[in-house]
Amino acid sequence: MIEFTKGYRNITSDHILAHAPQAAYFSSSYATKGGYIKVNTEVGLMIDFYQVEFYNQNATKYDSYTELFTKTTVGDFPGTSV
Amino acid sequence: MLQSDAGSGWVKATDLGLWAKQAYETFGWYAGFGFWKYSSDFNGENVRDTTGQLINLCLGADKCKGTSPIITPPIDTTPISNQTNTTNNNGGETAVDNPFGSGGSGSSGSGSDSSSSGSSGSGSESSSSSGSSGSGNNATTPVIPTTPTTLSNLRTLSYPLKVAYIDKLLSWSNEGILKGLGIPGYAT
Repeated sequence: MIEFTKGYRNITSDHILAHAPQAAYFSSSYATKGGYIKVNTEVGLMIDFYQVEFYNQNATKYDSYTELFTKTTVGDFPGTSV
Repeated sequence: MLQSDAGSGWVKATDLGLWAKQAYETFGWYAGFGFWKYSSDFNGENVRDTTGQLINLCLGADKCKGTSPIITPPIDTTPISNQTNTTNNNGGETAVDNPFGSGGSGSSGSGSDSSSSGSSGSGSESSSSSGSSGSGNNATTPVIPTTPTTLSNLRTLSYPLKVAYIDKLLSWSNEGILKGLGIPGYAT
């Protein structure tokens, strides 16, 4: 994804570029090889916005204000709220 | 959009709209929402109910204009001629789709200022009054919205864009999606 993003930006600097990762990939405990934390660190400035997917996440349902926006504690991917 | 449309994570749209309002008021979040489109939500009520309050909050806040370019149509001050209303003979107004309506797209992550994005996306469609059709006659000439002629200069797509409607996907596979999009070599 990092290489793709760099390559895409090289040829289309004026396009809006969004990525749509599942929220779990922003969790260091789940994405132990870096996941989107690494992507964001390396090419985040090349990405206009993230369209984070908060559904179909096993037991993590993001089905309350707290779970979705402030502090996900229930389920498989704690710490991945907005 | 029904609960049966979703796997895990479904919440009532109006509840999500209230959470968005709360997030905006609590820590300034205004990114927006994006959804898959389902036949149970043919009129876009889901995105309307989730983004409506957020859009209203953002309309009066400069910060919601964000870093994305805001496209504002130039004001056409030239007199309008030969535009009459189809049926309106009382000097009223005719609603037209507003191409610059406040779109709420995006996801929990994209911009409601575009909306984004967003995302994501789709938008709660708004309408505006043209204010140009109160001619008071019974002519039957269709009203043509006065889209600024310079709009094409502001919004130029320089890449091929393909839009497809997939009625149903029986399997979540690369091939299935490619077939649904009618990609040569995959479509049957």
